[in-house]
Amino acid sequence: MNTNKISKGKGTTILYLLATIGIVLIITRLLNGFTSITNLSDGYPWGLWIGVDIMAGIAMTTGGLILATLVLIFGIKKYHQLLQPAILTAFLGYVLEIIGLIPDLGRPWALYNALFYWNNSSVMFVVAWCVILQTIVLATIFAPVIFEKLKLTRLQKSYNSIVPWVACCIITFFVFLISKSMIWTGITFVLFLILMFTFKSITKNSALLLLSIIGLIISVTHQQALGSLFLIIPEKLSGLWFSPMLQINFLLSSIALGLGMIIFECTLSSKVFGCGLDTQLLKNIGKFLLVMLIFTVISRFITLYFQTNFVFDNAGTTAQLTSFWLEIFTGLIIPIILLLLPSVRNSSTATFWVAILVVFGVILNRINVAFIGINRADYPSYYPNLGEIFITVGIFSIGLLLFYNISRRFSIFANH
Amino acid sequence: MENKTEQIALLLDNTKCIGCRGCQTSCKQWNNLSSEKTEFFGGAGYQNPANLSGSTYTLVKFHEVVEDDKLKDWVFWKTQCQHCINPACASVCLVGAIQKSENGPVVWDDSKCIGCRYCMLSCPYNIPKFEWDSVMPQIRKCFLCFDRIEQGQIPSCAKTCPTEAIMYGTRNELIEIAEDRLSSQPDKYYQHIYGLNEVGGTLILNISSIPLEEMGYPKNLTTEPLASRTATSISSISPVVVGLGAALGLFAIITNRKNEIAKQKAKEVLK
Ligand code: SF4
Ligand code: SF4
Ligand code: SF4
Repeated sequence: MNTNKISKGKGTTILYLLATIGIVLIITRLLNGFTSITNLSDGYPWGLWIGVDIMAGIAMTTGGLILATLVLIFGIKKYHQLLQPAILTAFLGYVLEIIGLIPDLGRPWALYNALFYWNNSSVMFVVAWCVILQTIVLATIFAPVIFEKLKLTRLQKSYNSIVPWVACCIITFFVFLISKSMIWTGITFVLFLILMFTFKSITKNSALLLLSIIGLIISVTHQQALGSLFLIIPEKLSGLWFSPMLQINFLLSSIALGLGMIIFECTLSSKVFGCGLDTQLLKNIGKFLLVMLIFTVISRFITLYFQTNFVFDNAGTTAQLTSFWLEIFTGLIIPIILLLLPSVRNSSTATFWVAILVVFGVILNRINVAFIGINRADYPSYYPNLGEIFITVGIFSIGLLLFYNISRRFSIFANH
Repeated sequence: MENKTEQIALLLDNTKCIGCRGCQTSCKQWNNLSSEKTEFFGGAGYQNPANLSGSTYTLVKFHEVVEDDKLKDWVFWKTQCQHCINPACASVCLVGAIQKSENGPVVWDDSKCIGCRYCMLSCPYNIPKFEWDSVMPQIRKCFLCFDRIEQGQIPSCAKTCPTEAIMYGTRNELIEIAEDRLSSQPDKYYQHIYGLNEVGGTLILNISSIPLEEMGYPKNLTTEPLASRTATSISSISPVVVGLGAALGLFAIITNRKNEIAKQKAKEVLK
């Protein structure tokens, strides 16, 4: 912990600066409307913020849930050392999404309406409730770390008795909201009650176990819902990205991104915090990543076949095609080829760079779906302007700073 | 969704339109919409402004029909919210700020809207517009003069139109009129009633001398309501929750049992 290899001063100063610029710009946007600092228009109502802050940002959180699944549900204990930072990342991802909504929503102060007016035929409604409930779930999963460090023994004790009930209620409420069907609500409640009591009888960790199952379910739903947002616009979204199964592409690529983020984060934090890097674990995650990338590429090409018959030239404008091939090559094909080489898998530096490619590819994918792929011939095409870019950069800087400070304060890298 | 109450509607017949834009002006007047700074632009249509906006709910689009390098005809098309019978915009609004009223008009409630702009993206006609300049922006679009209709008056644009290019009535009677016109003057009309079946039917019915697609009406619209495209994805969530819950739960129980047994065995061995 005391051997910060990267000079802490410089890095954080830059981050604080970027975060401040971001906050100032967010305030400018709130005080002056959109035209002052964005290029959004009636033709392109969604832009960089939806693509990166909202869709890619949330896709980055899957890493935490994948690890929770491996460690808690499948009982593969060796990944335990990676779990806490990944859960923290996931939680912060959700916090950042909420921060990102402030400049992006036209009327953020009216957001509380989402709590009271329920239009369950809207995919956006599903997305909104995934955000709300998943933030609570992840905060609860991370809470024991804080209780332990702050020596809140009372809370620590009541955690295992209260939390399982809360978890059951959360998932039941979620199903109730979305299905408005008493039958599904009932089935869900009974199922999770059974799980809760069974877990209680077989393990001390019942609360965390239940929470990570629920977290994983909400995460899957959330990624799928983000993809489903676009199912309604096959006329506008280019066939290079549109597919009636777009949600599956979103889900698969978000898992790949989650794994990429785990590699990225572990390598980086081992430099910043000077904790040892378990190369064997990273190697395994690299293999998972390879498998997920192959799944993603297969699903992409199946849908591409049905949308375009692989005749790409007519499928989009030059800008769309460039962005499409950039995404396919840097985000999928090149990483797959590299990860197939044992020499790359065995080198943690090389794996790190592959992870960066994957992260870049999935972010580009979300950008493509959000605005590059949208055809609106009657409006000038949209590209983000500096104001939008710096708000996004600012929000991610806030995230990095929160991660850095919280993980130092609660020494989540300390035990390895 | 066939409603019990009769749906009201507008029939827009562009063979009767003279491009006076009285409807555009009266709409602004009735709804207190500000004027816009406009610019001449190249490309299809000479109308000003080029597009609908937060302060323009209806716009007459201009179109030249050129044959053998000669101007053969001018065609006008009044654009506005089509008031879908199964509106995509209302189905995607998470807070239900956009609602279809019982007798048809698709209206919105400013106080509920959170400004996510999903309605703008989802509308097949790209109708809802946003007040990008405003500190408290709103979604804006034609609401079929719902306030006037409630008072027993007809929409402001229909009232103003000097040539009956805009007719107000119930949807069924207007469909009959439209069919009549198409069959009695087959040379004058392109044989299609826009809005009869598009995206499940719309309250605004268009008949025209040329295919409206040439003027910017979206091509290849389905006759299915768009909301059905996301319905499967949403209704699959509950089964997925239960299925995943059961599967993961079972896995967790099995792995925990295995660990327990392994531990016990280890203990026994130690004994
Ligand atoms: S035309 Fe667009 S805005 Fe109007 S009701 Fe249909 S979906 Fe909604
Ligand atoms: S912008 Fe407003 S009206 Fe449109 S979908 Fe979002 S909340 Fe509903
Ligand atoms: S019906 Fe009313 S709001 Fe709609 S275009 Fe006509 S005047 Fe404007």
